[in-house]
Amino acid sequence: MPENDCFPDALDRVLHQPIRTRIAAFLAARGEATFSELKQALKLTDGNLEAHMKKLTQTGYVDVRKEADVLQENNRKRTLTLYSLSDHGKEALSAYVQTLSDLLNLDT
Amino acid sequence: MPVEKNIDTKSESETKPEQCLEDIRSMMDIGHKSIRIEKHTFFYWGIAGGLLTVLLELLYRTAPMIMNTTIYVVLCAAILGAVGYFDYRKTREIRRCQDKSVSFVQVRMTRIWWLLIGTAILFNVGLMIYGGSTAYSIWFILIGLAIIIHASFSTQPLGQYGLALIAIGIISPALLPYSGLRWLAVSVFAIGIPLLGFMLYRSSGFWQADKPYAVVIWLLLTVIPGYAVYEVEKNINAPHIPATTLSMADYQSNPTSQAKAQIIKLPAGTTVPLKLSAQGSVISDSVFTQLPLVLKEPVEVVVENGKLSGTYRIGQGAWSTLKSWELLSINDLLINITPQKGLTMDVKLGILGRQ
Repeated sequence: MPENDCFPDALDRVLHQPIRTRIAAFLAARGEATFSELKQALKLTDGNLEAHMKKLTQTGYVDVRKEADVLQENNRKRTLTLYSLSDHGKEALSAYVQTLSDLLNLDT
Repeated sequence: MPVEKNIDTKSESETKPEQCLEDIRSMMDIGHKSIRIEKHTFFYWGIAGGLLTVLLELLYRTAPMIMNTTIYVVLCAAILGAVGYFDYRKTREIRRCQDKSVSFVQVRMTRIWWLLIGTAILFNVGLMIYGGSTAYSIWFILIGLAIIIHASFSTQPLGQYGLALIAIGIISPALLPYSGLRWLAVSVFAIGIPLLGFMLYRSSGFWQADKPYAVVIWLLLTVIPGYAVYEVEKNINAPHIPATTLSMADYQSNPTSQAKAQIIKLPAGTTVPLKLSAQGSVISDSVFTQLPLVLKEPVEVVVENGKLSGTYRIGQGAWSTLKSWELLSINDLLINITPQKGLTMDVKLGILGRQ
């Protein structure tokens, strides 16, 4: 059986998607980020990022924190939404990296 | 019925593991490089630094040494503390306003910045009070600081050990002389640091580093050996005390028949002339002056073969050995010019005797 056939089954289904992998890695390193920062770092459209964030929050890999009444540059108040990788998400990312490394026979 | 948008545009099986790892590495790299020092930060700290330099220079010209140190600490803590607080608040406000956050790395780096500022203040105060004998204390504080910096990015319980080292660095110069600090440094470096390594890698049991009492055990095992060696050394090198005691009058009246070793007792009120010599690029000759110093308390000194052995005691205190460099400190040097006296130099000497 070719190696690639068994490759996806060994990996986390949610994280094994290029955009979500990058979101998780970015949040792991940065700690917390707003929607705008994620959009800027990943160069995605609002709709695309929103869909991926929804999937990550639904699986419990990403936590959402809201700060109300934040004054914006245009003097209007709005709620600031901050995303961070949950402990569950950190464990999943760590396991995902380990599985990838094992597949490539790398020492982590 | 709404159809869920297919967001997995690239199928999982198409993604190669090498590419996944590379993506993770590059995104983590971007995530880590998330520090941005805001413009106001440069202004706040720069102006505060300039202001403090001007104020402290004025202070040195007017206040005496102890007052100087107190005002220095209060002024630095007040101004730099306020700058730290307002800088942090303003940075958060700006980021929120731009729909951005302050990253984990930036929060940690801000704490490290505050720690470095605090350390700089501590060093200045240490040098003002204890002079050059603070060398080992500076090492303790710097290593403590380095451990705290590591703790900011580590899951190991390093922070409390870093703080303990800083506490040793602050307290030790007040309790021990230079020779004691030297043995303490030997103990901290050769026992304390390896012991910390041992404790950090114990996953269970008494020696585990994250137990609540662990830092106290570590502190005791780090400090006690150094202090014990210092005490032993002090006792081994305890001064030899002769049996004969003479008054100054007896010593002076019979200078030829002196025993090999004897104690000379100087009562309070005895005049001790201090002979000063000075030389330098702006002074043509060495000038010798005798200053009549008067003893405030009785002092006993040991004379061996007609020479001072360095052993002394003040009042009924313990016998000590005097090292000349521990004796004198220049607390103030003021130069003035008046029509009546012309150019004058006012030197305030501190003459220390430990009991």
